[in-house]
Amino acid sequence: MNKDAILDLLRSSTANHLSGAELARRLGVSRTAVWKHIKTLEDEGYRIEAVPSKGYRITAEPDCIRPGELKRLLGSSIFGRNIQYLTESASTNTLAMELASRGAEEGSLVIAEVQTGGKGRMGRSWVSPKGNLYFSAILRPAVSPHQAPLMTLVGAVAVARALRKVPGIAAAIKWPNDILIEGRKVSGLLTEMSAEADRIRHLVLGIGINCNMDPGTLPGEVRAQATSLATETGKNADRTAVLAEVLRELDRWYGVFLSDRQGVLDAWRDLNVTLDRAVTVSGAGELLQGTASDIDSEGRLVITAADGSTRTVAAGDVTIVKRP
Amino acid sequence: MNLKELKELIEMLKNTDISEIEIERSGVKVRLRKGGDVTYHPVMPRMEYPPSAIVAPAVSESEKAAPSAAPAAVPAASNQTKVTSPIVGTFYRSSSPDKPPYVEVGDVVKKGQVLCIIEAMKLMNEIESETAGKIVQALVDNGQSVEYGQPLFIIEPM
Repeated sequence: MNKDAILDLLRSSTANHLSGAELARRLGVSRTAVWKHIKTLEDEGYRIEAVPSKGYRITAEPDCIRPGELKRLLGSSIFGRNIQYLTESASTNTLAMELASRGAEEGSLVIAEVQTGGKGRMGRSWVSPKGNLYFSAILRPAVSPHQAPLMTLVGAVAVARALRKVPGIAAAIKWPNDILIEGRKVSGLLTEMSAEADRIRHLVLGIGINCNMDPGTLPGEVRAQATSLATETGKNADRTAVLAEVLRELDRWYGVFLSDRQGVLDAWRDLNVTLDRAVTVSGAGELLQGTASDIDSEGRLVITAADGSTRTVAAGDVTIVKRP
Repeated sequence: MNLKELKELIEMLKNTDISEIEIERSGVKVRLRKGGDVTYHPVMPRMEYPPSAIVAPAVSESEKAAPSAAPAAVPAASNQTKVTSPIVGTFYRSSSPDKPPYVEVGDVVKKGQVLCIIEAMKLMNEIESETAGKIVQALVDNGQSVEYGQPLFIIEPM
């Protein structure tokens, strides 16, 4: 699309102005067409400086997700095929589950700028103000339902690896799939599945990443435990670029999940901050204490108690005991 | 075989010299033994679950004297369906701790209606009823761990 091509050219030349004639010549369109695209970009929130006899220059990019650009960045990935971009959604997971049950193809994405009813585990909410990423991906893995929980580790590996590519971000995974920076949560995942006894109908991987929100918009009890990319780096993240990187990693690790489950476990171990730590696990009706000694072949957490006995946990809230 | 027939069988067995009887009908095999156990064997292939999870009712001497106690301990007669867990995880009867359970014993459910959630590693698996019917038994308590293939509910199709 010419508008995107103009954007690319302007971005490649942020120091110098590009003349309307030059843009028109490089794209093979009229100067009037160039001017119209510039107006559209301005409507989308780009600030473009127009200087007579010099031309155009971008001075500020809008802080919104750009689905068209995302699609181009994703190329042939399954995640670039069908993107539903919403300025507001009650919950991207709920919508994605509905779309999936109506037959949406694998790789379909639901992305929202704001969630009014973002979900966490067991009816908890995921506070979803403006400036972050909230998205859900529809998957239809041809594996048995009991193999599906490992997908939550796949999601964690993808997010942690993508965030580590942002300079200054040392993201790590807390079991099973919270993404932390220095102990504070930057991203959370919630996966929902519809399955028969021996077949997965669909699975929706929901991901929230704190990017550029104002931390002050979070409720007090969450604020102390949360962080964002902007808080860590001191500048706003390009959410479209972050999202594209997460989806590229997800595409890759989803492929690994389907062919080599051990590869997922190894990648998870490399990125985690839970193993070899003293932890408490609540949930499943009891409180367990011990050392998080490993994850098993299904990704479940193995807890070794002081007396050497081990327990394997499939669900629960893990608290890492702070080192003295 | 329905519960009434089973009751009659137990009653009959009590008044005879027969010590053990095995009956197979419509894919369900029932073996009754005096002074021992009542065991239930689905003829279909068994799924794996730990022994503790198998509903293997034992009929004690006192219970045998009161046959009405037996039916409650007999799972899935031939016309009933067992809902089993497709994954290992934690069983939840409601979507969050402050919400009422999705279903209660005695409720009539539609095909596709959510019965419970099994969670494994923040993957929430909504278990739907594959038949329309009445919930006859709920076999697992909220917050309990369940194994792959473990029975969760028994539904009498309607």
